[in-house]
Amino acid sequence: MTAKVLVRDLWKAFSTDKGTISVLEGVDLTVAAREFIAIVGPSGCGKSTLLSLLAGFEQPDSGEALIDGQPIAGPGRNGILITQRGSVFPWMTVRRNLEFGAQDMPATEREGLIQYYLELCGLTGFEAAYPHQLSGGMLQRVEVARAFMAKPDILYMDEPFGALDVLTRLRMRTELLHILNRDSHTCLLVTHDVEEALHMADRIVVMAPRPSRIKREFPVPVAHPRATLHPVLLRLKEQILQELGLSAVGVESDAMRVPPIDLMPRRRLRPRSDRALADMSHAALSPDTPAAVGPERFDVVVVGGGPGGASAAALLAERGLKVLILERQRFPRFHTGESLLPALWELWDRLDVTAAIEAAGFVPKQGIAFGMTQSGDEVALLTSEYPEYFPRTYAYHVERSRFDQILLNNARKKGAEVREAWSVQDVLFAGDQVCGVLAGPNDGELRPILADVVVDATGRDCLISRRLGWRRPDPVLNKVAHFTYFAGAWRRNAQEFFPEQDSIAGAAVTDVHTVNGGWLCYIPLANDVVSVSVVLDAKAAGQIRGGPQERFDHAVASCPKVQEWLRGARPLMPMQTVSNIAYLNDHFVGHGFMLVGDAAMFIDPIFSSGVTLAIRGGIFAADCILDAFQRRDFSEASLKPYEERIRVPMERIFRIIHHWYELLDREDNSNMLLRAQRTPWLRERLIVLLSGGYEKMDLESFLLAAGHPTG
Amino acid sequence: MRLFHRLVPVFVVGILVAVWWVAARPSMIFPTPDKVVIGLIELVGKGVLAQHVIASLFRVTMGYGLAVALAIPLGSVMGWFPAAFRAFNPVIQLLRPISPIAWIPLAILTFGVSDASPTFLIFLSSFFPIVVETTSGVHLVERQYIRAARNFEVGGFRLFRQVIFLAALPQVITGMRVGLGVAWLVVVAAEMVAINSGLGYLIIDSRNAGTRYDLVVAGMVIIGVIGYLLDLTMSRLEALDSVRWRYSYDR
Repeated sequence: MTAKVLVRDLWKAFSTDKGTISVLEGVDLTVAAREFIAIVGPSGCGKSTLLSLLAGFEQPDSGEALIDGQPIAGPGRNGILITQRGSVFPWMTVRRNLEFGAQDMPATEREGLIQYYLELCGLTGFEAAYPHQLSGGMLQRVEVARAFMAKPDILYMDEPFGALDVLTRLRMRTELLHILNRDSHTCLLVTHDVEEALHMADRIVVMAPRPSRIKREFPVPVAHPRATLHPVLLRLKEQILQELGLSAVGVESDAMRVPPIDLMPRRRLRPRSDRALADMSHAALSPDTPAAVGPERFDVVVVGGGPGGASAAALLAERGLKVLILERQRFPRFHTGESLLPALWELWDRLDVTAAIEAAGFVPKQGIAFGMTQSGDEVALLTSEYPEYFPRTYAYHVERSRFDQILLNNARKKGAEVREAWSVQDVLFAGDQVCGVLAGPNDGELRPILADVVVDATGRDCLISRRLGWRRPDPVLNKVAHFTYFAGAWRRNAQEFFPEQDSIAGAAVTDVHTVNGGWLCYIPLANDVVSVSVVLDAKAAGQIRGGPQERFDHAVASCPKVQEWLRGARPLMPMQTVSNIAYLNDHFVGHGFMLVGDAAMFIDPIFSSGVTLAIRGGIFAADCILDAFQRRDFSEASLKPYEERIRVPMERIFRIIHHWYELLDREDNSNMLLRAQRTPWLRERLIVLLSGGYEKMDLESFLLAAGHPTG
Repeated sequence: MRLFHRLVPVFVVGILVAVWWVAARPSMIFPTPDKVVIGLIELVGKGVLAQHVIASLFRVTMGYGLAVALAIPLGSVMGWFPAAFRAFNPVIQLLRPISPIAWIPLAILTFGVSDASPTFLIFLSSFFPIVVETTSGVHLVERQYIRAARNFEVGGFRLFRQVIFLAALPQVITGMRVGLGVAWLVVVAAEMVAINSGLGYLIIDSRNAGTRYDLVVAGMVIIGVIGYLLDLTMSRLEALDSVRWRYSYDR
């Protein structure tokens, strides 16, 4: 494979009044096709000249510069140069500018391309606008869109975002990466901003003056999207700064703590509402400035309106903090049926939602019935057997859509502002401190929203931890879940398990049965609806031919009892599929942010632990944030108590479930459930565990009792 | 508040008219505003005014149109090709300071007493401002636009039509606006000496043929009003979306 760009011993000098100035002194560079190279260096090191030369605007004095093995004949559509000064024609509308980029193209093809890039670059609706009516960031997007219209192989970008304010620049980086992701171009970016280079490039080339040539190259071995705080990037940054002679080791670690945010106001003569983002002034960041001046400010922004986020927000708002919940979907959002745990009563009391939940008409749930399909054994574990552990010995089977709505409404009632159908695009960092999010209505304009603390309750999206590379998937627990709702399925009479005095009218148990390749969960809900989900090992699922429905049917067919229950039942919706790979994050907090619920850890749904852990996490997070506001200290250390509290139950359940399957797979006498039938001591612990009392028992003794050799 | 701002100029005009009226009252010859208005009505009534206005406007249209048609191409060539600039600029700079009035004798000598001589004088007067502004406009087109065009492989006449000319257009329009102002200035002077129709002729004739100073001033007022309207029209051009970027201080 030949290199896309090949530069060998390139020399270039300019003659001026004061004599000849040597700009390039033996530059060597090779760029592969589709590679993204960033060239960093101090001003005067010749990096812009190199780009200009590659784009064909200058001729080298000696040496060779080849594109696709050919010498560069002059500027052409093959390689478009974008500069910070901008060359969008101000006398043409946005549309005409884009047309200009592809004049010789047949009109229909061109029209299609225009629509595509308008859409991709977020310019739809601005076709007829003239450049002087656009903000700086939008103008730069027109520049990029026009460049793409020419279908170039290579993009040369010379400080493309240099003229923009910091926040717009951050946003443009992300957007450009997003655009580049869809089309594949070779990119050469010249920048003096090392962070920008680290954020975007596959390889960073450091140029230095005297002699003006390439001094060193650094590959960036981090996948996109990249977190500014990624340890590898921080190390690279340090090395690159050293290479540039800009790093004073020792001072650097301190310097990194100081937020390098320099949100300079853009000079404008006339105010314009469509430049809200450009209006970021550093004044707007100080707490005593009215929020109307700059971006919105909240004490706490909670990303995600599920149980964890809504719980945290309710408690924070109740105590007078200014809280914003950003939820991508519009509630009620569709979700599976869920078997809740008795441990939740204490948490509901704390949240002040007990009455609302009691009034919702959910089906009471008194325990779990485990069925071993192979041996035909059935073990019922009822919370009421050990009533002293929990305030009430039952919980509910709920439709998550309704349950989540109750919690979100509660947060709203307590004073939290809730924005549904809002997406968060990115987290804003000032140095390594999170200072807010970049968010907007779905398909709407993004804007910065500043906050002292950002709570990431984005569930399995893991907004922040993915970015920081904290997510540690557990490949052993890689599951696929298929679920749907049925009407007219058989409902078990739960009375059969209880002595009369313990039974609650209309109550049910959660039926969990082993099936081929996994297990099945049968949850009777209100209105004659039953939620059935099948959780299969991803590998086992892959071996079953067909789609989700076939896998579901296959699994149900392996469990005659449930197959019988579903005879004649009518599915209420097409089969739904969720990928359930377990993961645990390295950390749950950082400077100015916390991870709550599934955003911190996700484990197999077999214990229905997710909702309990999320709500508990939300409450713990709120406690910790309230303390942090007392101290007005939002550093990692200040938020750490939350992690210490929630990590205990989370890791406990993680480890138990990790061992669960091998224990469950034993169908002989050592099977944990069967042993629980005979051993009251084990039975008690199992019931407490399945009721959500993760802090109420001792893990090691449980595992020991369960017969796990290592504990 | 807006209304107030609009009324201020009317107010100023009113005061000036009042001063004029008070100052002119004792004079036997100098006409007062009311006499001027009566004179104007008389001119309109006889149909003479329209005739003169049309005659003047016709000459301006011819001379100015010719100037625009020649000055813009020449200015573009001079602005783009340094050789052309070196060749023509000295001549232009030499001829430019000569008042068109000075050309009147030569014009009469060459074209006689006809529409041709005022047309020629108007052409001369508006040609230079347009050439000079066009030249500078084209010369100063920002390099990054031309580089971008070359990057998209747009060259030749298309480069001129889509990029260079449009980039220079705001300044060309400024030249045209100045040129039209001078043209209107000159048409009156030209008509005073060489012609028997037009607003300039109306003024001279009114003085010579019966010392009708009311009609002299009426002619002056009409010239002023039409000149103002012409300039207003040109300033409308500057508000077009495709040229506004250059005048706006917005960014």
